[in-house]
Amino acid sequence: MITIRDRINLWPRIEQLLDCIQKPSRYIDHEFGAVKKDEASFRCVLIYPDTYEVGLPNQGLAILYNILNQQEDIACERAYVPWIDMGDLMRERNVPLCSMESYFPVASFDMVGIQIPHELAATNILETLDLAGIPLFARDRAQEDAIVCGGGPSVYNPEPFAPFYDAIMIGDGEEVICEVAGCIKELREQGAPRAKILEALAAIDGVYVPLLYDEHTDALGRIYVTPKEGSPAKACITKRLIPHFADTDPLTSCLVPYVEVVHDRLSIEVLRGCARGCRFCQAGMTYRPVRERPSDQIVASVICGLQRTGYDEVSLTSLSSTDHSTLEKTLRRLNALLSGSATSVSLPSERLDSFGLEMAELVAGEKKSGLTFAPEAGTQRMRDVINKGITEDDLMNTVRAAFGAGWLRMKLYFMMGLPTETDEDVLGIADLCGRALELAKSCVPGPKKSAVKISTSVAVFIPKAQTPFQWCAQTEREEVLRRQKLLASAMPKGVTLHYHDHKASFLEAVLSRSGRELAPVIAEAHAKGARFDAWTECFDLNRWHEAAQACNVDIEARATVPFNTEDPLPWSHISCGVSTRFLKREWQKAQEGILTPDCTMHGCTGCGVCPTLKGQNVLEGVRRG
Amino acid sequence: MAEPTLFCLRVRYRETGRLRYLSHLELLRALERLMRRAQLPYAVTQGFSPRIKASYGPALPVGVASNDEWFDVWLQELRPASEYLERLRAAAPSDLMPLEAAYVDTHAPSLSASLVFSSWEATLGIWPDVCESWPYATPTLADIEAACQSIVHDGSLTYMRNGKPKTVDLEHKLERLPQVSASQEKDTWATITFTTRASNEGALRPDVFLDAVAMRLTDSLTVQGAKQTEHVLPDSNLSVSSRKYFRIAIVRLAQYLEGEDGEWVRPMQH
Repeated sequence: MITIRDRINLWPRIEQLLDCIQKPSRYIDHEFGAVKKDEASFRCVLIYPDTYEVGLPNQGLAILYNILNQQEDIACERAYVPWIDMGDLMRERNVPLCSMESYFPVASFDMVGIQIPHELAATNILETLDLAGIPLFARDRAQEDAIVCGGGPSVYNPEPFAPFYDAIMIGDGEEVICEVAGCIKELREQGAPRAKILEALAAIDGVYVPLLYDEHTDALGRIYVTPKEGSPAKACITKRLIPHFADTDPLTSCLVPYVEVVHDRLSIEVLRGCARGCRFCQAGMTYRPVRERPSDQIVASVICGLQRTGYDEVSLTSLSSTDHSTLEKTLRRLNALLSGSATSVSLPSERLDSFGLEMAELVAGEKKSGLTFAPEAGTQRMRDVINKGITEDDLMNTVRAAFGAGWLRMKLYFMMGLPTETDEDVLGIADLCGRALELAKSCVPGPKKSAVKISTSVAVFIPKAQTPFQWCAQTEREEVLRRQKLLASAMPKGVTLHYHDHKASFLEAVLSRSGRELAPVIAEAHAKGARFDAWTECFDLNRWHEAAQACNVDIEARATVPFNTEDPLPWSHISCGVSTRFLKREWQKAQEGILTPDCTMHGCTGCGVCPTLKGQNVLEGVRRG
Repeated sequence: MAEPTLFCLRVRYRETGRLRYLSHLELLRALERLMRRAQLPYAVTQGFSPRIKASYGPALPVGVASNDEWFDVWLQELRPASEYLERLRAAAPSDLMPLEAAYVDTHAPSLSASLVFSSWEATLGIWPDVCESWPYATPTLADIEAACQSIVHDGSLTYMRNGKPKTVDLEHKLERLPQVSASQEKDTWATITFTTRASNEGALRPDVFLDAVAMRLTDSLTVQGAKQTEHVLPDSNLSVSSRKYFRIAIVRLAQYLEGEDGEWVRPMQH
């Protein structure tokens, strides 16, 4: 009998569905640059838990795909979550989820990697496993079931998802993925029992094996974990670090999609890490230290990558590319080299100061469509609490320069519900926007004044693990709604105000702050039809409330009850290298409104990353503060 | 500054295999990237968002393959067309393979307006996974021929497009009427060939025609084991529901320009 663990090419069965669904080109593989290694005996599949368009451009998976395929006798393939129409049709026809390159069932792979990109992907992780026919919970998997591994940006509180994974890799994946694949390969070849494989994985630095931990429940029903006695599980799993970032290949995968994907361009990661120290920002804590690529390497890989792929745009990606100490030189060289080829360079985010604007001008050329900045808060007091490190003068100077230079549209991002926020801070957003609009109009000649547009997007603050605000609660719904109304009533005419859906932010807070007790809720929500929660048109919080009720978990409390700074946290056993002492100090300084400078421009701030991870900031020159 | 001299290279390529599922926009992006990978000395358009100066032939419906697609690209440097063809072939996926290239007059009428005739070959059959739940008798060549003829006889056909009914008048749109012959392939019932003629009023989409043939067939065939004819296909969206059962594979065999006397002219001969 044929089972889903048999390596059979299922393309003929997929093909029969493609005339009946939207965007069939998502499911056809055969992209330029896709790697086929038919002969390799050990097979991995890396899955992004969302659609092809969202998953294909993911740089983390592209890096790992490239690295694994360079290993001898290891093949790495890709898979994505089929959109609802296709997923349903596959279930109806009994076609399991399969990989792109070989169209083998996902369940037939030796190692199944499902990325943990953000909290709202929770149900899609289960949709992936369910369509693949792999048991959802690691504890239910049998000897011959695939080893399900995770990793990615959202592993710094892995607990809500942990029960679905056999192993989770924390931190930079370049080396650890090979160690994990090698370990599974060796033990599978020896016919080792599953439990032995998990134990061996737990012994690898940076690898978390959730099944090897005991669960403890606190008075509020929150679960925190400790290593099982006698197991190789570590009390604290510290993230992996690639200290010599410049030694990694900047040209990750040169896979060129046919479908228009969300970032439809070549991406070159120009630096990793950000030390600005914004206190709400998880990535700013978890990707330290800062490591820059040399300018020569960036320029060479851009030119080579564009030739290999045929893309007409390249993005210089990172958490804060404008901070790269030789960015200006790099951009000028690229502009000279690419002139006349109808190719453009882009930066993912702009820094709110005169240097940020100069760089925006360098990449925009003649095309000044719109600028996006994130002041995050409306008053100086609030910006100091979050350590945003910009002043109103910075913003106003940028507005004056931008509209003076010909830009007509600006988008500003803010947050609401930040710790210590008062009504004055909320109204400060409206005041700031009003002053920016007035200034912008005064910088633009008469006939164009009416084209000046300032729009704002205001999200609800979500306290994240491993940040100075990790102990804080999310503001309750009623209060959020009151503040939203307050801001809407004060926002000057001519500034468009958009609110990020607070229901989605609430769920994100629940998923960010819970322990393992949430895993059954996720499974129940998925059983009730929740999937693609990150898609506004698919998201329904009611399913989650029903699921939480069925599992007897108070999700309201998960979002809105703060932790005591002495409490064990659900994520206490995971470390990004930033010490709890530093986080506590930062939380204290936040409440006092004291700034902490960026250690790539000023002295060491004592976050603990460099000594813990045996790394350091690697800069290519002097940074401009 | 004087306009530099440009040269118009006309390229014939195929769109086959899985790449038949590309939408027109996806195809254009893929061709642009192909030209960039091949490092053709392409000219770029003016304006804030410069692009490769190129023009493309009429769109293929999603799911329809072709052995005869065309694009023109304006080049800044004159080198043998065969050299550019080789570069393009080296940078192309096999299902999007350039087959011929030659220079044409830079003032030649655009491909999208002048490629008027398309000849199509379609095979009609059933998907293996639903074979067993197929409620009808297997259609004969005569059944399929009758279905084609009844559509042609009606002179128009109505189909669903984005949830709305749309009617297409067949007059002047079918240059050669459908010919039905036996198919050699497994699980297929017949091969249908026909030639369409595009005009200002639009063109007959080959997939729409084949969907209509499929629906006529289900109207005329008897349900196995039942006496009377009845509709069993559930969905109101004709195209989608029929495709759950019918395997409809369509290939554009060739495209032609219209000569001065209405004759068919190959695009390179222009």
